[in-house]
Amino acid sequence: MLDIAIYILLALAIFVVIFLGPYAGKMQASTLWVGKRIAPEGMDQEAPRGFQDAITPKHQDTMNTFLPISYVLILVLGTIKAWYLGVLLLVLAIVLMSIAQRFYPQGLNTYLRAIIAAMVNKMADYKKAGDEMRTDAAAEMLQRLNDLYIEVHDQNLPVPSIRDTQRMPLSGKTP
Amino acid sequence: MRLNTSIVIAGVTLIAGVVFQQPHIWVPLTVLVAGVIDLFTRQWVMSDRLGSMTELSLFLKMILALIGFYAMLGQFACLVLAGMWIFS
Repeated sequence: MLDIAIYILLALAIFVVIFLGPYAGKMQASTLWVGKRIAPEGMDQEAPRGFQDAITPKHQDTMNTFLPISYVLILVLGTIKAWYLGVLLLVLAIVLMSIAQRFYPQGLNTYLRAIIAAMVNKMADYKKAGDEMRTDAAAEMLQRLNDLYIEVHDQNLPVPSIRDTQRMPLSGKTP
Repeated sequence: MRLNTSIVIAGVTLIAGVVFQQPHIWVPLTVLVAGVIDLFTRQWVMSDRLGSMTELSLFLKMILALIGFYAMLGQFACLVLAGMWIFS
C-alpha cells in the first residue's frame, strides 16, 4: 500500500514538473523582463529586479511554491525506492521539461497579456476591499504595463532568457 | 491537410497492430488522437492569441501543449512497440 502511494506521489510530482515547469520558467523570465523594463532608471541599487514582485501574478507564486516541492519529492521518494532512482528521475524530469518547453507559447506578448490580466484582477480585488492606496498603486502599474504592451506587441519578441534579463539594466531597451 | 509524423507513425502502427492482433493497441491509439488534436491546435497554442478569459486560455494552451508533447514522445513509443511486435 505504501509502495503504491509512493509511486502515485512520484508520478504526480513528475507530472507537475513537466506540466507547470515550462510555463513557470517562461512566466518568471517574462515578469523579470517586464518588471525591469517598466521600472524607472537609476533604481538598480534599491530594486535590482525592478517591479517584478509587484506585477507577478498570484498563480505564478503558487507554481513557484509547488515546483521546488516537486523537485524535492522526486529526489526523496525516488531515493527511498532505490539509491540511484531519485537522481535519475530528477534528471529525466528536467530533460522532459526542457523538451516540453518547445510546445509552450514562445512569444512575450502571451505572458505580458497574462500579467496585465492578473493586474486588472488584483486592482479589482483592492477596490472591492476598499484599499485606496493599493488600488492607486495597481492602477499605476497597469498604466505602465499597458504602455509597454502598446510599445512591444508589434515586435513579436520571444521570451528572453533569465540570464540575459538579469544582466539587463532597469528600463533597458533590449530583452 | 498536412499530416505530422506522429499521426503517420501512430496510424501505421495502429493498423499493423489491429491487423496482426497485437497487444498494447492503446499506445498508438492515444498517440494518434493526441497527434490529431495537436495538428489542429498547434497554431493557436504557439500564437500570442488569448481569449477574453485569459487564465482559462493559458490553462487550455498548457493542456494542449502537453498533448502535443505526448504526441511527439508517443511516436517513438510506437516505433519501440512495433519493434517489440516484430522481434518477440
